[in-house]
Amino acid sequence: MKYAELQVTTNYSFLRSGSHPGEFVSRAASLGHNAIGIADRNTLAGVVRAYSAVKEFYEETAIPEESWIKLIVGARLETKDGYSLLAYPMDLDGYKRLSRLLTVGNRRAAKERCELYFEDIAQHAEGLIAIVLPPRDIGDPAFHDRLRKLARLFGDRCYLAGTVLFRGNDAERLADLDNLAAQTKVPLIATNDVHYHVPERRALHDVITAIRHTCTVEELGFRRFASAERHLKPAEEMRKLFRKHPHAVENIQRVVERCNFSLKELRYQFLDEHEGGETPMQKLERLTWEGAAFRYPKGASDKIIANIRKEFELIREKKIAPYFLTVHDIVKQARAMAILCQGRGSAANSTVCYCLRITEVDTDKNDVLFERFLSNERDEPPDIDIDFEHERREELIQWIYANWTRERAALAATVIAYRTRSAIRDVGKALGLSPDTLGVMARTVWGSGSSALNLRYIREAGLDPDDPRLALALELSSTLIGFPRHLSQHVGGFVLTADRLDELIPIQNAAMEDRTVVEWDKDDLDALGIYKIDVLALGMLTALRKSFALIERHYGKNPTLGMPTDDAKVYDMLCTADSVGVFQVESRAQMSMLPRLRPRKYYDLVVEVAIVRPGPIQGGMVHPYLKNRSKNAEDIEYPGKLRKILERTHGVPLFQEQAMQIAIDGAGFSPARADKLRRAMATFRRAGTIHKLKDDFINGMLANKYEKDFAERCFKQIEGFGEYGFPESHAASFAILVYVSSWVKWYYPEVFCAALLNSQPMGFYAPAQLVRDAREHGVDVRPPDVNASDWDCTLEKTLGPRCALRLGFRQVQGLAEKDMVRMVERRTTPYRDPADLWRRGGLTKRQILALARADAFASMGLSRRDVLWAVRAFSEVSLPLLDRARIAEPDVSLPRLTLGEQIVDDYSTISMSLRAHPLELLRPTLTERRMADSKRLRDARNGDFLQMAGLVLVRQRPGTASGVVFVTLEDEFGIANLVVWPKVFEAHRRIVMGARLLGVAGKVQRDQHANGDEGIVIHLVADRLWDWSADLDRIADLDGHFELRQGRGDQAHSSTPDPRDEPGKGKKPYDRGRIIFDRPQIKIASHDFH
Amino acid sequence: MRAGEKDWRARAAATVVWRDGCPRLAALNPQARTTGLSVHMRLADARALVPDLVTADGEPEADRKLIEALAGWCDRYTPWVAVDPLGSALAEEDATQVCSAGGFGGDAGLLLDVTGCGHLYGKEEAGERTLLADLVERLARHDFTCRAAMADTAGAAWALARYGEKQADLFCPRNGQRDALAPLPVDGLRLDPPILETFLKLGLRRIGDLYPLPRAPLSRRFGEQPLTRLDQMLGRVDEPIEPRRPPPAFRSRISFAEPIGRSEDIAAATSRLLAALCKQFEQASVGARKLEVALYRVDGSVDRTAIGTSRPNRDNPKLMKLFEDRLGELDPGFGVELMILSAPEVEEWTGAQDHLPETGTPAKSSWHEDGTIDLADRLAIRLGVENVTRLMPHDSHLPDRVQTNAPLATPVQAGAWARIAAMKGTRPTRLLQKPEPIDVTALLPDDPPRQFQWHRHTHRIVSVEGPERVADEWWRPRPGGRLMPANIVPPVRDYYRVEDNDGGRFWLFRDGSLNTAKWYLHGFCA
Repeated sequence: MKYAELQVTTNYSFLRSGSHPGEFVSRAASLGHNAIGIADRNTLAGVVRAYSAVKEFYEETAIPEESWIKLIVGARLETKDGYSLLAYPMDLDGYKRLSRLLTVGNRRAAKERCELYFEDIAQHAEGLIAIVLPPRDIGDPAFHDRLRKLARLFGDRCYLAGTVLFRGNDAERLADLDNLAAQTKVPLIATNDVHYHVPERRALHDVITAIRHTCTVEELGFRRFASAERHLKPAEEMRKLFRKHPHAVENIQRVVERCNFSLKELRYQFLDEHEGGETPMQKLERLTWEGAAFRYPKGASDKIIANIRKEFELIREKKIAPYFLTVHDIVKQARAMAILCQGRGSAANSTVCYCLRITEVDTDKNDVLFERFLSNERDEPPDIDIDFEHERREELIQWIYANWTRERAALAATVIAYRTRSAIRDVGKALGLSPDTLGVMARTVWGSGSSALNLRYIREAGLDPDDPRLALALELSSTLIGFPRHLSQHVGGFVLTADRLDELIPIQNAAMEDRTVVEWDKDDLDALGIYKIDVLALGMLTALRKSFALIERHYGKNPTLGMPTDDAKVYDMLCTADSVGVFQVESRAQMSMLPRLRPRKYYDLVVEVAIVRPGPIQGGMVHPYLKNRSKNAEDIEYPGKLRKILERTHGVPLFQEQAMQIAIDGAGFSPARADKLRRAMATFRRAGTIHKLKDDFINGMLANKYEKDFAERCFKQIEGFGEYGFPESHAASFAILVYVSSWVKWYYPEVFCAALLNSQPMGFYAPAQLVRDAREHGVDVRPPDVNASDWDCTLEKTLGPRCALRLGFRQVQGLAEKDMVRMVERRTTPYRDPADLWRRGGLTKRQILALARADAFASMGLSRRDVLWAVRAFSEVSLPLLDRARIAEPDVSLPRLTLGEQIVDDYSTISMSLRAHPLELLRPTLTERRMADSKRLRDARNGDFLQMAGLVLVRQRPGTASGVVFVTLEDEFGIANLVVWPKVFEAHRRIVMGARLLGVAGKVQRDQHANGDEGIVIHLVADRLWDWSADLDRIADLDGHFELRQGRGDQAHSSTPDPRDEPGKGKKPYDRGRIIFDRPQIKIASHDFH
Repeated sequence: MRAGEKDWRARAAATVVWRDGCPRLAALNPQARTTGLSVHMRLADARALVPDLVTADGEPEADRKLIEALAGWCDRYTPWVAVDPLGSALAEEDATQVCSAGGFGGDAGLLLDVTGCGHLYGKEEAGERTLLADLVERLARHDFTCRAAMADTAGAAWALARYGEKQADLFCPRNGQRDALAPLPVDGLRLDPPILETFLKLGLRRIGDLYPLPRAPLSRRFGEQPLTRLDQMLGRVDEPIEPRRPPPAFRSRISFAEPIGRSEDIAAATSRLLAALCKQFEQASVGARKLEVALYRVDGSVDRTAIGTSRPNRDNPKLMKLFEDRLGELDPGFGVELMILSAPEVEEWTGAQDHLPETGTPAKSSWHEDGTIDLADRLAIRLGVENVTRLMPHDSHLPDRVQTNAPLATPVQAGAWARIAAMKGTRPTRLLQKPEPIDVTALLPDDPPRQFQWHRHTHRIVSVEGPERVADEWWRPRPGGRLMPANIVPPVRDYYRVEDNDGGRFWLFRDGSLNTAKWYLHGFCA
């Protein structure tokens, strides 16, 4: 007995279904259905998931592909003029039409809401089968009318759906439908209008319906299904329901036979780059050789020429020359627009990419693994990711749209799914839990995880997880986690095609203006072998471009990313951990690694970038590496046959490529299986597969006579790579940016600081620390001034060889760029007084006050209070009167600001003070308390006892440090790094978490070099702690007005959007004016990593 | 406070309210204040600081009632009591609720005009000092921490109560406010926050800093408010007072040396008070429309009851009779130390006694037009508001839940009945209150019924329609309070409309899974 369900609504009809596409597919296959029709509302977003699920279902079985369940891909069309039907393409052409139809609807409407009319369907009807869905009241004449129109349009491809609704009148209703079918000659076809794969999902479906209607389940009333019948049913049951209309069930098979389109047929079409009689391959060869001549003016080495030849061979074989040409086009355009860019990822292994100036890693000087980028064994698209300046990437994106047209280019989608916090919030609301309870529950979730709520935390928060209603909410929300909620855009993955892209995938408008996205995400694209190019944003590139521009303007030099990487002074600087602001190696963990690793050449930077990451750390590779590095090359032992793999990293695997290679050479994995291992780690960890792979890996290593300990460490490392993968080629690309940014910092610290400030938000440090670092390097930093500053920070000529750095208005809280730019344009002569600024400069009173608060009137000789007093008297009505009135006013002498007050105001407006450090004022008190300063710490010896105090800059609890809290303190002399062990932390929790000014007593911990010298990495291991924040308030002799900006504080608070997903568009990386509590799950890895 | 947290008084404790999108602290006890917590802080942040913080849900409404009750209690000193709505209402004396151990705190305050009330406690200033001390002491006895200040002007008292440094300074001598207030922060001036903020930025921090400033530039920049406030505080300008309850013109009080509690004593006292008041009525040629008796109990609480008349009345025995019914409702608690009888509403004496309106009098208002409401209100008074109900439509697939009872005043959503009616197509016209079990014969377990037995009579079914399948409402607690796990297949009822051989039409349903199904009769179709 054959049966196929043709009306399945998956959860890609957002908030309308209780099951994933894959669940429907495997359930239908288990029930023995011979086909399943997936039709979501005006979308094809879920079909690839279903397609992959079919493959996965049969993957481990011996069932031949012909006997697999047939996936019929379609969409449920709901038009604005009341038409409702399922549309299934019969062939590829039909599919293309359906995709175009949906694109038409999508593009017409605002984001995500497809707006279709009968006319649209009429224009795209060919090749589609229509199953008309009747309304509840089938006597409606309007429906009869619509049915007749559709019957005329689709002819013999039109069917009428009959569903048993269990509303008490089914016999009558089906008979009426059958009559109608006979009258209109539209055959009746049986469906079950399936909304969940098993009846057990009924409760979840009700909850989802309630979420969609933003009400509680109780309030849903008749909007919920009365019973749990909308699930996949066995063939016999369906036959029984339609026993009076057996032909309705038989008609299903007729439709199944007629629909022969499979997603397999979709073929990605490369952009056709035929030009001037050249084939794409010829063109690629020509461009590569031209590029090689540019890269190697003295002629390319034999190695390079051999590399290029080898790569050409593979590219030709895989017929992917157009892909390279496409990327080349984009990079060329970026260069024409003077947007700095650099390829990252595995493409850095390719000499062709280097010659095409897609990447900057010179493959002549470095050993590369082209196989990691492209290999015959792996059947997957090459992966070229390119970083662009984060501020100007949008220009390039718009150029791509313009150049390829909207029909041929679109961004990939990202499926925004329910996570722990959003799931419990929505389920709780639907179940009518109080907002307080929900707030408390959501608070127990740290970050934006997708795991079920931790019952212990819930109990700790004072809630009873056994309370029936709460238990129900927890249970339902754990099922809801992972349900797609809506589609968003991928950070930068572009799909570009030669044919019409809208015939491949429906395209829709993104929430962001001027962006269009396809309905599939990167996994879907991968599953169908559709190529994408990642156009990513990187803050450091913006900063470097700005640096280069400033250097050219003020010092007449022209540095580029391709500069030689061999300046000893730059490495000297890095060896002393002087790396505030430098790309990638500015975090605290990186800083403490630099003096130990002592980088002397470019490849050391590659290692430096890759080593301070969860992979090598979890794998316990760091210390063996440092140990081996200090040994002579001959003394290093290489386990088994691994010398070739491990030689360049002194016998210790540090990179993803090496781990993979060990799996192949050491554990005897096939390359494909090694890659499967990597993927299994990278995606959600499916426990079953992982255990099997792990056993195979360890056993394979043991069989090849490696030590168990080594094997396990290697595996652990692969595990670590899974989530925070950092392949060597990626590190190699980043290492270039490390070097170039270090170079700028060393030679032009004022330029470096200005460029970083002008590129905010980015990086690890807040502006205050960047400025402080610059001043420590001798830069003359000048405060913002109404008659001297621009919006951006600028450089000013001085008598000496170095320029001074003038802070821009962008550093001042509460000002908008366009107003300040206008004010600067009108500053033909210096502004005389605040009133002049008001009238001539076009600033509002609010803006003038913001400037006054920032003390930007020094050039007029006015204090903050003078300006404030003056501005209060501005009258909007009569300007001339004002001048007279001002003259007539008696002088008012306002109390002078104390230094403390000045500092407090400085901090609250530009989040730093160029006058003095707050602790300078408190120093006498601190000395009375026998507190040392950070200078003393710098000179202390390992094991010394020391007590000191400082402002709390950063609190971190890295995931890799098992509960240890790191605190960065700052006093007037510098930074001090604190280590707080869990036991001490628990005893001083309130102080550690709440203090803005922290006093600490503890032991100095100083690293020792192998030769016995004391290193420069100093930690103070806290033993006792005091909260002296009240002293800060005393500084200004005011209550509670001291505001201190905290570095990178609020990361954990912003669940979505993640600022890293959209650099430049995310939240500011710090939160001002409030005490921020860092959440313990902040990992070092989550910083400055794109 | 949560049960089981008996020792919370000794620990940091706070009430929590939902504000600005998350739970925040609303009020703190002194222990919590010393740990660095502050009002409006997010609960999560507070917990990071004080993990063992004891919390309770804040109840702003209860807080408001409590402060109202305190205001009522203060009637013992003067009828001119106002609840201070964050510093804008004024009176001559101010008792600020800085932080009460009872769980609410913050800035709640009361303003009392005690002009001429001090004499009850002593002569001139001495009397007023005693009054102030008495108030603080009595409140302390009831576990309220309070700061009370007294001054010539409301503004001065307000500032002193909140910002005065020492307890001894809180009594401001006559005409001494200028000096007393000079060192106080400008916050004491009850200025709008933006003005206050600007003053602080300009370095004008103490009230005295404003004394030397020229008036014209000040008012140009800040409007009239700072000058007005200053003048009011210093007594240069009058401030009108808006008491909480308009003080009744007619009032008599009696205080007891020993607290009384027996109802006869209360009745006797009421009678005495009434006699005194009726004398006042006669002198003023008025009659009472409303009378209120208030018992001030030793524990600081107040209980009141009132009677109303439909015509002005000053007939002592008749009024006493009206009171007799009500006095029983009064609860003397642990004893009553003071009783006050007042007449909040009086009217000019008309002489004639009230008589019932004649029948057939033309209706004066809609009150008479809608007799139903009239009746319902009377019934509600007799039976209790919650006992007079109406049927409400309720959107539910379950037939038993399609209508519910609701208080009469509940409005019905437009179209709600129509939605239900749309469902009625297949539903019976009459529904049994409780489904009655029946014996049913069917061919197969999931077939429609063939015949059924009800009340020992067998009905042979000749035609059948259905089923209508209705599943339980899974989110509602099952009998016994348990909830159904969400992931099970719900129990369903299959409803059938059947017609028997006598032409009777019935609504039957099969309950539960097929093997263990039971049948019920639930209604009768038309």
